[in-house]
Amino acid sequence: MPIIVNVDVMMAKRKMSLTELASKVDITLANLSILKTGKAKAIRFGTLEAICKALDCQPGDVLEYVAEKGVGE
Amino acid sequence: MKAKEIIVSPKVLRYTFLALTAGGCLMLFLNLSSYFGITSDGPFIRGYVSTQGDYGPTVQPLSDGNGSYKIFNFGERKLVLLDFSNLPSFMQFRHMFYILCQKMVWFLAIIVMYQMYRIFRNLDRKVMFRDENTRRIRLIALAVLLYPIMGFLAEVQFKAIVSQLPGHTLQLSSIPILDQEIVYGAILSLVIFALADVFRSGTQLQQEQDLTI
Repeated sequence: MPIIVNVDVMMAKRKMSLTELASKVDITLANLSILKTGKAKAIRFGTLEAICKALDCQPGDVLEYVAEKGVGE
Repeated sequence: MKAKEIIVSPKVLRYTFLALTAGGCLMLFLNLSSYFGITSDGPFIRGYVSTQGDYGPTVQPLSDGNGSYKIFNFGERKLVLLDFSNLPSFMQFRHMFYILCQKMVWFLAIIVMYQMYRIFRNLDRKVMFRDENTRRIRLIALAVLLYPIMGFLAEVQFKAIVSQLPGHTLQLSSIPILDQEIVYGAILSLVIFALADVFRSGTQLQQEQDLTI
């Protein structure tokens, strides 16, 4: 999937643990882990808003588009 | 006033299908053992044959003189039981093949019951839209398709056995009276395959829902 989730990068920048973020965003550790590992298929605006608020960042800091090799060339 | 809804719980259906599966296995075992003479007086096989009809309609006038009705005789199915005096005369390839085809019908029915049990067990555990359930519904569809075909094959094989009996007087039909069952089986199978496809789409939606954070 060409959308990369950079939650772990932002967490490292803010020196925040997975448990702390999970409690601030109010989602389960399992769901946060799905998001972190890039297995998630979609993210709700509400969740994105909560993550941005907790990590004090913009949606673009959390999500990144990387074109797949061989696509659109 | 709203009518009270009667909902059969998946638990009830789960155990009903489990009982049907167990009962089917037991019946299959008893039936096979009786064929081989273990739980009966001696080895035997039984089956249905279709007899020839006269095809021409018999015209019966109505008693009031306002018309008539026609009766078409396309033959009928008869139950034939073949007793064997000893096991070697019974243990022939054609007899074994017939038993295999006939019991395959039972076996398919048991497969359907077992798959239904597993589906309702999953429903009881609130596991509904999963790939496993889709596979099970597809297997049921396949079994429903094969069910009348195996029945047809068994009757064709039994007809071949009966036609070789010395001195038999039955006017056997060339095609067993089963063709409608095959068509119904195929239609039902298609409907179940379509249901499996709907279930597959449901599974995809469920997966997307599960992976939406």
